[in-house]
Amino acid sequence: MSTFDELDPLIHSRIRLSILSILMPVKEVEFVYLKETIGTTDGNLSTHLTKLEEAGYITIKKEFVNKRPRTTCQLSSKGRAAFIQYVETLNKFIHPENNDDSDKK
Amino acid sequence: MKDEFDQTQDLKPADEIKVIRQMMEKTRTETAESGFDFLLWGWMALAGCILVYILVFAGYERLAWLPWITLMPLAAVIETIYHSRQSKKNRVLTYARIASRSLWIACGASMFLVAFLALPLKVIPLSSMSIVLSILIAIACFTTGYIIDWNLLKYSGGIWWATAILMMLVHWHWHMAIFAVALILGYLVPGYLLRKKYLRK
Repeated sequence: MSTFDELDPLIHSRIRLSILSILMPVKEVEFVYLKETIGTTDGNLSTHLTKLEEAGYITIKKEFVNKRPRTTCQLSSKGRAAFIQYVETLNKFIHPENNDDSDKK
Repeated sequence: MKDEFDQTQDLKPADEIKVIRQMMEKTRTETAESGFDFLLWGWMALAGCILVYILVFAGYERLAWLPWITLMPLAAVIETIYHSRQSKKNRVLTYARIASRSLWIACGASMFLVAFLALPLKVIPLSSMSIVLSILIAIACFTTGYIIDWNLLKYSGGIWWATAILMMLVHWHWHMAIFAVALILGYLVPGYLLRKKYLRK
C-alpha cells in the first residue's frame, strides 16, 4: 500500500488541511477568519467544516455577540490526533529513509 | 463550477507540508502582540517613579506611597476594560496568547502582593521591594519573548535581571532612579517596537 493510500481522506483536501493547520495552534477561530485566510467562499467552507464536524475532528459553536451572529471553530482531541498522524504519514513519504528501520521491524 | 483551490489530487506531500506551514505562519502573524500592555504599565510605572521623586523633594515623603496606590490599580482597571473589549474583536485565540496572558496575570498578581501586602505588613523591607519586582518582570519578559518568539523581549528580561543585580549592589535610595531607567529600556522601548511591528502587520 502506498503512503498516499494511508493518508486520511478526510484531511487529504486542501481546504480541510488548511482548516486543521490553522486550528492546530489556536484554541478557537472565527469562521470569517478561516474564510479570509484560506481564500474560499462561505458555502465551500461550510461544506468542509460540516464534514470535519461530522467526523468529530472539530466542534462548531454558534452564538450572538453584540447582537451579531458569531461562528467559532475548535479542534477536538480526535482531530488533533488525526492531524498529527497525517503529518507523520506525510513525513514518512517525504523522508522514506527514516522509516526503513521501523518498517523492517 | 469546481473549486480549483480544492483540487488535492495534484498536491504532493511537500506541497501539503507547505500549505500547513503557510497557514500556521499566517495565524501566527495575525495574532501578534499589540504592545498595549507594555506601554500602559510602562508609562504608569514611570509616572509613579517621577511622582514619588517630586513628593520626596517637595517634602511630602510620607505620601510617597500615594502614586502607587492610585496609578497601579488604575492601570489594572484600564487593562481589564481594554482586554474585555479586545476579546470581542479578536477573531483568533491562540494558545500562545493564553500562555502569555496567564503568565503576566500571575506575575502581576505577585507584584501586587509584594507591593500592597508584603510591604505594608513589613514582611519584605522597602529596600528589597524594587528588586523583587524587577525579578518578577524579568521572568515575565523573558518567558514572553520565548512564547512569541521575539529576541528583544528575551533581552529585555536580561535587562531586568541586570537591574535587580545592580540594585542589590547600591544603596536603596537609588532604586527608584534605576527602576525608572529599566522601565524605559526594558519596558517602553520593547513596547513601542512591538506596537510598530503590530501596526505594520
